[in-house]
Amino acid sequence: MLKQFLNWFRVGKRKFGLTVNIESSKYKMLLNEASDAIYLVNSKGIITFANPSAHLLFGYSVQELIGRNIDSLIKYSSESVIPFSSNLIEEKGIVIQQEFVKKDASIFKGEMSVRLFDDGSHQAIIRDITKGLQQQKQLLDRERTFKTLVENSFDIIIVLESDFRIKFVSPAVKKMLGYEVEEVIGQKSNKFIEFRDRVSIKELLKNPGITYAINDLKLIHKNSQIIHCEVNAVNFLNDSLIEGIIVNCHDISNRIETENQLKNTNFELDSFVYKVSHDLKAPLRSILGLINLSKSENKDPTINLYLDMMLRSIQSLDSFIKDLTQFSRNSRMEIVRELIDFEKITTEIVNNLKYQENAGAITVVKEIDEKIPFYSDPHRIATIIGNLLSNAYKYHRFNGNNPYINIKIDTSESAVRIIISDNGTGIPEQYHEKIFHMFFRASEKSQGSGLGLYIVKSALDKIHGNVTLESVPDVGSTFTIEIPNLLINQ
Amino acid sequence: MSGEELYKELVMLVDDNDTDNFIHRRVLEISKFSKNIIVKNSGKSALEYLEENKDNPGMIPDIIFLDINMPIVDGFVFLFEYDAFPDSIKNKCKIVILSSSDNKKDIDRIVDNDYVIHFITKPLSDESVLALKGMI
Repeated sequence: MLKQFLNWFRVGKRKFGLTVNIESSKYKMLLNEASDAIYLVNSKGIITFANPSAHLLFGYSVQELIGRNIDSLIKYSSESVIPFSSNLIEEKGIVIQQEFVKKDASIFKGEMSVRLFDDGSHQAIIRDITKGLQQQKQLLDRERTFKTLVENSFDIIIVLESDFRIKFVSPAVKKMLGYEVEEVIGQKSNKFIEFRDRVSIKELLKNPGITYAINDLKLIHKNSQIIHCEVNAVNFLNDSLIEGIIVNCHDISNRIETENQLKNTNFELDSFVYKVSHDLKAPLRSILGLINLSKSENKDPTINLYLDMMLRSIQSLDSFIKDLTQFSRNSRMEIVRELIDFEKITTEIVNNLKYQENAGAITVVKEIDEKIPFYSDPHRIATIIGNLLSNAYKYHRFNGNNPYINIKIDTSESAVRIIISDNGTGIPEQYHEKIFHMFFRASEKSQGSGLGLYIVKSALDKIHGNVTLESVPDVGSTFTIEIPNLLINQ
Repeated sequence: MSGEELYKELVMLVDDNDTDNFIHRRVLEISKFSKNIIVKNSGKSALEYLEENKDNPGMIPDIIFLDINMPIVDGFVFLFEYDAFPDSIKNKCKIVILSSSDNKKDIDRIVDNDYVIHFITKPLSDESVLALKGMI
């Protein structure tokens, strides 16, 4: 019985000791793994314990720390002349911010939680807050950078309230619109937007979070001059941080002015080309008239031969002038959107071409289905079809093969397909690409400028069309053209 | 006049280019369109002629061949002034544009006039006179 009791007591004692050991090892693990530096200091100010984080923080090894006086780790500023020691801590537990000295004499700021024990020793937990402070400073720096950016930007940056009153405006408003910042704050933004553009901004700001770009918003300068702006606006009214519409206005007046100058120059150049081509053409047409008259009043076959040769030279000069005018117009004129009447266009072209040499021998078959209205640029369409048909006439074969030209036109809601095919001289395969190049002439028969198909290609490029060619020499050629239908006006 | 089948009694050519006036007169004669041809080498003198003869129907041409590109009173100005003449003249006298322009814009703009019945690109030829006869 007694033996049993003793046994129980021994086991109990062992068990109890075990529990203490577990508790202390848990505590040790906690100390060792804590990310904060923890040390114990006895009543004489000597460190008796330090955890690995203390080693990391101060740079001393744990062995170096133990036995060291705590005062050597603390930086004393002139304000806190009294040495820091456990004796001076009046309260049992405090949290203070304190500067510390590392082994390499560098200084860091720590947040220190101190617990004083009854025997005069104390425990301290230290967290390096330099990083936190640095982050705070960085944040301040960043804010200052942004502020500098905003204030020195050439663009006006505005924050609008939901009722379009100006909540914030960057100082660029002075430079761009002539107003002081104070004059503008609290005003309705519409006051600074040209009347006709006022609706647009309201319309654009219905959906939050999406950036709206307005290419040319006209703002009004204090001196009532119009300033053209490229504007980006985002509705942040629902964003608790901003609670406004952020608007960025970039002055594009110079660009607009240059564009207008370009437009004027284009217009002048166009008038110039028109005038020059007219003045070149008028005397040519007079000569043509005189040759025609001479031919009808002259019976001498030799003279008639000469007259015919003159006629052909005049005609080729005349068509070269036409090429030049078409080329210059195509490259500069804006695209016009009109309903295209293919029947009328092709009839006119065929009528103009029927006076060409041997034209009477060619059968022209038209197959036009334009039930679905087709919209595009009428001048360019006429130029394209005209040049292709003129080539088909020029490069035909008349050796008893019933020369024909087929014109097939089919409109759909998305595009028109124009197929012009003939049984003419054809084009060797190696030239199929090159014939669309400027001044390229694939035929020895060619009397033209080498501009015709180049004009076709560039006119097609302008109206986003394309052309494909199938052709075999001495069999014929088929040009297939597709041009998008501008049925829906964009 | 008698014995020849002339298409029109009296026509007028309005063009500042004398060579063209010569050619057009010859073509109109040869093609027997008319033998009585009044030639005016400016838009202004043509308007003055119409003004002087507005009460004399026999002197009013049946057809005026009008050039577009002329100094001061060009084809467009002529047509604008012409609009102010009394209906008696405008009903009798129709206008055919005769121009070296084949600019579609010009053509569309000028043909869009009540008194213009046709547009011919220069030079005037037998074929174009024949076509004109066919449409009047």
